[in-house]
Amino acid sequence: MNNPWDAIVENQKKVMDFWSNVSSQMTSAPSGNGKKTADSADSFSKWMEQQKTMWEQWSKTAAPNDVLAAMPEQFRQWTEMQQQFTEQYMTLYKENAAKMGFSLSQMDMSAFMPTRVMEDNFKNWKTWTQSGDGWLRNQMMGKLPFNMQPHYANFTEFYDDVHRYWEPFSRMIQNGIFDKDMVEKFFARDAYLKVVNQLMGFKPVGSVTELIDGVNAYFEKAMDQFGQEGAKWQTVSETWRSKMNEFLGGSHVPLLQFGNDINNRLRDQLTPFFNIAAQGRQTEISKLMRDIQFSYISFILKTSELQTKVYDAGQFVLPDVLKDYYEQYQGSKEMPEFQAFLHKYINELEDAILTMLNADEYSKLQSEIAGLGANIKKMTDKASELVFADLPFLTRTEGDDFAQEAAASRRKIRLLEQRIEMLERQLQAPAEAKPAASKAKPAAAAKK
Amino acid sequence: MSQAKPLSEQIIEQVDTAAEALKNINDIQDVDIATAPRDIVWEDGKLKLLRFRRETPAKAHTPVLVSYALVNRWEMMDLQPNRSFIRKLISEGIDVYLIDWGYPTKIDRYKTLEDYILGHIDDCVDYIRKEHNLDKINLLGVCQGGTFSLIYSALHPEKVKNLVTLVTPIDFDNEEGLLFKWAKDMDVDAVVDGFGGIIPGDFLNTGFDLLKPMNKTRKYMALPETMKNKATLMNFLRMERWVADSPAQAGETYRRFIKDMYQHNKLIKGEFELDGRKVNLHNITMPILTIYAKDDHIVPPATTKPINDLVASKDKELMEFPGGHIGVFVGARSQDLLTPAIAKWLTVRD
Repeated sequence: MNNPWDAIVENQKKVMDFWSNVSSQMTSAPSGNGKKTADSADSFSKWMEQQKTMWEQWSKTAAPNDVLAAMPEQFRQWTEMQQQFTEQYMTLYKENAAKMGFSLSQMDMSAFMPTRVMEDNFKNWKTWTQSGDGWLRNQMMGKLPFNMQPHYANFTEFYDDVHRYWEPFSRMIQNGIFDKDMVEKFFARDAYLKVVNQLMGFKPVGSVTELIDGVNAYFEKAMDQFGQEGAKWQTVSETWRSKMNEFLGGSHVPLLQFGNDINNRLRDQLTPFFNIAAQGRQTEISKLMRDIQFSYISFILKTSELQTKVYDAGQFVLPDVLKDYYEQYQGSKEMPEFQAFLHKYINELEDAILTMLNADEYSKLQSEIAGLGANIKKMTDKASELVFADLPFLTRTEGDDFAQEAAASRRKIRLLEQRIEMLERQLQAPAEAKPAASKAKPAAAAKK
Repeated sequence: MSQAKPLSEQIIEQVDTAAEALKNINDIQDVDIATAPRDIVWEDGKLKLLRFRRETPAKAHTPVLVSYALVNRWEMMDLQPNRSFIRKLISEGIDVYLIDWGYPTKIDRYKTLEDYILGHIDDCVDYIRKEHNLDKINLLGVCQGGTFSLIYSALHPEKVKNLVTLVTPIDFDNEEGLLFKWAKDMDVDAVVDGFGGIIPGDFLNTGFDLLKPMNKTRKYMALPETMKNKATLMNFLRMERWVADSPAQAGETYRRFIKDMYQHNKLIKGEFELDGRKVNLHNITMPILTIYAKDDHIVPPATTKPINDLVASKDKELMEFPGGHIGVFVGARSQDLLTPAIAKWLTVRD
C-alpha cells in the first residue's frame, strides 16, 4: 500500500468481502418459518449498493488528497451507515439464525459471535482511523515550521507509545496495582525513560561506560591520523603532509594543488624552527584534541547525571496517578478516558520535574553542562581552523576581525554623530536668534 | 471522572473531528503573520524602522515608538488581524512606529548595549522627532525592549514624552522566575565564547521550553480539537511559526545583559553604565505606565512591579492584566482591555 488512501480502500474491501460472504450464506439458507430474510436481504442489498456507489465514486478520483479533502461529509455518512447496518444485522441474526435452520457447518461460526463481529468491525475501524490519523499527522507536519517538526514527531511517538500501555494501565487501575515495583513490571524503566526523553527532547546518554569507551576509541583513532602528541616531530610532519595531500590530492583545481604543494614545502622548511619552540601547529592540534577528549567525557558524565535527576524526579508519578484513579474507581466504578489519564499524568510529571528544575543543584549542573558543551565547540572550532589554516578559506578568527572592525566603526560613527549634533546645536543657537533680528530689519529699513 | 463513551458515540465523534480536521488542514495553503500594512521608513544595516499605515488621521498628536525585545520577533504583536496589538493601537488613534532589530549574524557579535540603546533607539527616536517636528515622542518597550526603554529614558529624558513598559524586568534579583535563577548560575563567558559570539535562537528557545516542560505536549494533545476549527487551527499554526522564528543574539550584548542585569542587578542599584555614563533611573520624570501580566512565568510580576518605585515621575501608573507573557498580547482579552487602556493613557497625556 502506497499511501493511507490505499490502506483505507484495502481494508474496506476486506470488510465488504466478509459481509458479502456472511450474507450470501445467510440469505441462501432454507427458511425455517416462511418469514424468511427478505427484509434483511433488501436491507443488505441496499446497503451494499450504497457502499459500492460511494467507493466507486471515490476510487475514480485520481488524487488521494482531493478525495480526502472532499470526503468529510461522505465519510461521516458512510460511518453512520456502517454502524446502522451492523446493528440491524446483529438484530436480524439474533432473531432469525435459528429459525432459518442455518447450516452451522457451512461457515466459521466464530465470525458470527456478536463480540467477534463487533471486534472485527472495530478492528477495521481502528485501521481506518489509524490510516487517516497518519495522513492527518503528515499534513500537520507539512504545515509546521521545519524546526518545530522534531518536537511534533517526538510528541506523536510519545502518544503512540503511551497509548500502547493504556490497556495494562486500565487493568492496574481496576485491580489496584500501583506499587512502583509492580508497575515497573508492565511499564519497565526503559519505557519510562523513553517517555521522559520524548517529552523533554533529550538525546539519551545511554550506557556511560560504553559511550566513554566509544569516545576514547574515536579520539585515539583520530589522534593516529594526526600523529601522537610527543611522537617524533618528523613523523608528525610527514603524517600531516600525507594527510593534506590525501585531502587535496584529488582536487581538480591545479592552482589549489600548486598552493598545497608550496605550503607543504614551506612547512617542511619551517617545521624544525617550530619544533624547537614546541609550538608547531600539529602539536597544538594534538593538545587541543586531548583537551576535547577529556572535556567531552566530562560532558557525557555531567549530562548523564542531569538526565538521571530528571528521571528520578518523575519515577513515582505514574504509580501515584494509578493509585489516585484506583481510589476513584473504587467509589464510582467508572474508568477514566485515556486522554484524561494522560493529561493528569503529564501535569503531575511536570510538577515533579519543575520541583527538581528549581533546585540549586540542578541549576549549577545545567550551567556546567552548557559551559562544557560550549567550550568543546570552541576547541573544536579552533582545531578545525588550525587544520585548514593553509587553505584559502576565511576562518572564524579572521571573520572575528571583521566583526571587531565593524564594532569599532559603529562606535566611531556614533561619536562623530554626537559631535555633529553638538556642533549643529551650537550653530543653531545664534541662528535661532537671527530670525528675531531679521524680523526687525524690514522695520528698520522702512524707517530709512 | 468522565465515563468512557459507547463505541458508536466515540466513532461518530471521531468522524466529526477527523472530517473537520481533514477539511481545515487541507484548506490551509499559507500561514501568514504580521499582515498590518506598513512601510520601512528608515534603515541602518539590519535594523529597520517600520511605520504602520493608517487609514484615518491619528487622534493623538504624538507618535509612539515600539521597542521590542531582542529575543524572538516583534511579529507576535501582529499575529493575526483579529489578535493584533499593533492594529488595535492604530484603531485607537495612535500613530505607531516599531523597531525591527533584524537577525544578527557573526558580524554582529561585538554589537553592544551601547549600539542598541544609544545607537539604534536614539537614531529611531531622532528620526521620528524630526519627521513629526517634535521635541519628544512616546516610547513603548516590551520585555527586554522595556528595559532598554527605561535605560534610554533615563539617559535622554528630554526626548521622551511618555513611557510605557510592558512585561519589563527591572528587579533581576528574584527567585520567582526559573529563568532568573538559572541565569545567575550561568557561565555566560563560556557560552558566548563557545558559540563564537553569536547565541543561536534555538539555544534560547530550549531554555524557555524548560520553564514549562510539558507545554508542547499539552499543545499537541489538544490538536484534534484545535483542528476542528479553522480559525483555531490557523491561530495555532501562526503561533508555531512565531515561536520557531527565533533570531540569534549578538554575543557581547547577551553577555553584558546577563552579567549586569541577571547576575548583578546593576540597573536597580544605580551601578549600570552605558558608554561611561551612569544610568540613574531617577532621571525618569516623564509620565510612566507600567504593565505586567498576572500569570507571567517568564517575567514574573515581582520583577516588574518595582519600576514605579525607582523612577522620579509624579504621574505613574501600575496596571495588571490577565494572561501570561505572550497571552497578554495575543489573548482575546488583550484586544478588549490592554490596548485600549494604553491608547487611552497615551491620549490623555498627549
